[in-house]
Amino acid sequence: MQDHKSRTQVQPRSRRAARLALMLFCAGLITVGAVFYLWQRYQYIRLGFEVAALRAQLEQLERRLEPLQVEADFLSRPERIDALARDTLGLVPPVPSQVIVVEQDVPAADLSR
Amino acid sequence: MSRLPIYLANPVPQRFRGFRPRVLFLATGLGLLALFLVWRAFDLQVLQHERLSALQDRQSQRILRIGGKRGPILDRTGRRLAVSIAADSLYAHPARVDNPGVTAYRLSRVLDMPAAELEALLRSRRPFVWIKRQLLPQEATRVRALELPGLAFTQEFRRTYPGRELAAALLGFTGVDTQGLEGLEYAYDSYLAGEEELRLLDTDALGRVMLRSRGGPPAAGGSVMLTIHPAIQYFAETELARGVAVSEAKRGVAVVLDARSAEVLAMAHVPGFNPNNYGAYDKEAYFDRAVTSGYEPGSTFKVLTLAIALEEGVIKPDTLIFCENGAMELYDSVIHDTKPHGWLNPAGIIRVSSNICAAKIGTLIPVPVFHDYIRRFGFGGRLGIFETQDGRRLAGEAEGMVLPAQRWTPVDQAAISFGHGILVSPLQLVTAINAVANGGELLMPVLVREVRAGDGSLVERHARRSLGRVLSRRTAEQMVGYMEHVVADETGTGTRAAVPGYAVAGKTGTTEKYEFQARGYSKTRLIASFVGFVPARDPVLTILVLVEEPERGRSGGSVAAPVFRRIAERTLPLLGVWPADAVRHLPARDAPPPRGQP
Repeated sequence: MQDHKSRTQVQPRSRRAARLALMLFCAGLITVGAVFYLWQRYQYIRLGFEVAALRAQLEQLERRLEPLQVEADFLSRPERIDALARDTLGLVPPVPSQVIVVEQDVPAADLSR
Repeated sequence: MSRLPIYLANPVPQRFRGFRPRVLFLATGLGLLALFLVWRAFDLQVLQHERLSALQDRQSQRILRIGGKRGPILDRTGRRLAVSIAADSLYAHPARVDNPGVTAYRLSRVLDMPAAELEALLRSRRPFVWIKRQLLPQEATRVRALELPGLAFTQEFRRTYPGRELAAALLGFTGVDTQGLEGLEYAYDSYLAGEEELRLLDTDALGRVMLRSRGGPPAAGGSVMLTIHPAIQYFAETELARGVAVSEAKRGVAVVLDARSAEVLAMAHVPGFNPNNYGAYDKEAYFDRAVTSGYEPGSTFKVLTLAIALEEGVIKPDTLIFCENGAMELYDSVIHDTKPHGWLNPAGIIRVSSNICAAKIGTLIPVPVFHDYIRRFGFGGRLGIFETQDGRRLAGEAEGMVLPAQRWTPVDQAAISFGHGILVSPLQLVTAINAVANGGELLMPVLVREVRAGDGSLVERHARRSLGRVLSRRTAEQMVGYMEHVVADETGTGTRAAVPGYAVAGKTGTTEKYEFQARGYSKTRLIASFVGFVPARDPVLTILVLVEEPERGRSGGSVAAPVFRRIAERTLPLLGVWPADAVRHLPARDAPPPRGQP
């Protein structure tokens, strides 16, 4: 009878402990999950801001690039190159008698080059 | 004793008798009023929501349509000839401008606009006015630095032509709303135009204006790649300008074709204009005369007359024709040559450019046959240079004028034989002569190499396209020989077209302009032209030079032929075509190693 009583007294304690451990484990799991969720939300938002900032920077750089490309086209236009070659560098186009082509055959160059 | 209800226990005093019906009446009234208000709210908020919303939008909002980013026009090397870049546009909320007079004065100094005009805009009662659209970057910076209240910027796109005058008449230009107005900008507007962006102009109760985009960013326009070579275009323009200046001419046109593919390498017009500031130029400069104008081809047409006669067996290479010593009566007309000539063979007729002999040969060809050949060479109809692959016409193109065969009189036939009484566009003429260069095969001229959509996908590509054989190879080769004499023989009319080191085949033309008011040909206003190809036996370039109303020189041989020569001698080395005597055949062991190798 006493044995039985002691068993009934011990069993609920261990069960409570097990239950407590389970609850603690679940709480820990939930906490970790929540922390992870919050962390990844935070990362998501932070990266979103970063992406938006980078997009804005890209747009800004593209806006700066466009006029620079136009300026490069403007500065490399044939009229200006010709004037620079003649007036600044003193170059003139070679006449055919000044040219020796050291090739076996000279096919017409690809016009697209 | 049971308890009585309270109202019985506390009977209503006398003075409150009659109160209850009044309360009921008031409650009913208020209830009905509440019901009415609920119904009215439901009516306004739900039943009439859309109509009232639209009404509110009309009163407080305005939609501005901003042209989307237009696609670029590229040359054959991929360089941008026309491009759209973001630009600030300045607008004002007149109600929020502090002092319109002072603001207008300060703006006028930055924007180079009249202060009175600006003040009128700033005093407007409208909630929104454009001050200046598509500002230059330095203008926008200077306006920002003024920090004027009531002014704000929005982004638009400004069309820019980095090459300035380069190929301007060909490219055309766009308006302030970036719609194509002239040239290729107009012809290919449906491909180049970007998606229109709707911007909402909101005005709040205080009259403050907000401009914000509605929807996502609009799709950019497609791109058009031309066959134009920038350096060759530049050579053609500078040499043509030089020729026009030296001869004190009114204007000129030059067309350079790749003889093997009929791709247009250059299409030059003088005087030119800068499409970045097209308003400052005479409208006459805007037109692409190479494609849209018709001229009488004059003696350059004799090449085709003799080619047709040879092809049809009307004459043979050794046939001798008497050139009447300089004058021939034909019905009530007299045909003249510039110099008297006696008996000439076909080569001689082309070399000295005899009108009389050309007329005699032309009148030997049966009219329907002659007419049919002229049409097959591409005259009297559109070539279709501005047509899509599915045949959709994008812009106008001169058809020229060829009389119907049944209306030809003997005088017409004689005149057409030496290039009068027929109108052709410069592009038609150079295309027809290119058929002679190509052994008799007529090639479709190509100006647009490819069209791409805004996402980069290919819309269409134009490549070498044959329009059929118009001459046999033998006849074409005979004509090449005759045309070589025009340049190489010292008695030829085109000796000044000779390019040292290369064989040139060509033909001069000098035409009196027809004056419609006087109903006759002018003795003073001429068109001097030269058309030819080089190297004669393996053509790479076919070039037409046409100079209108030269004051000095006057003939095609003295005005246009030198321009042909200079364009050819600058262009051929660029394409790697060198004179035969410049090429040294070295054994492999003597050849220098490739660059970068020891």
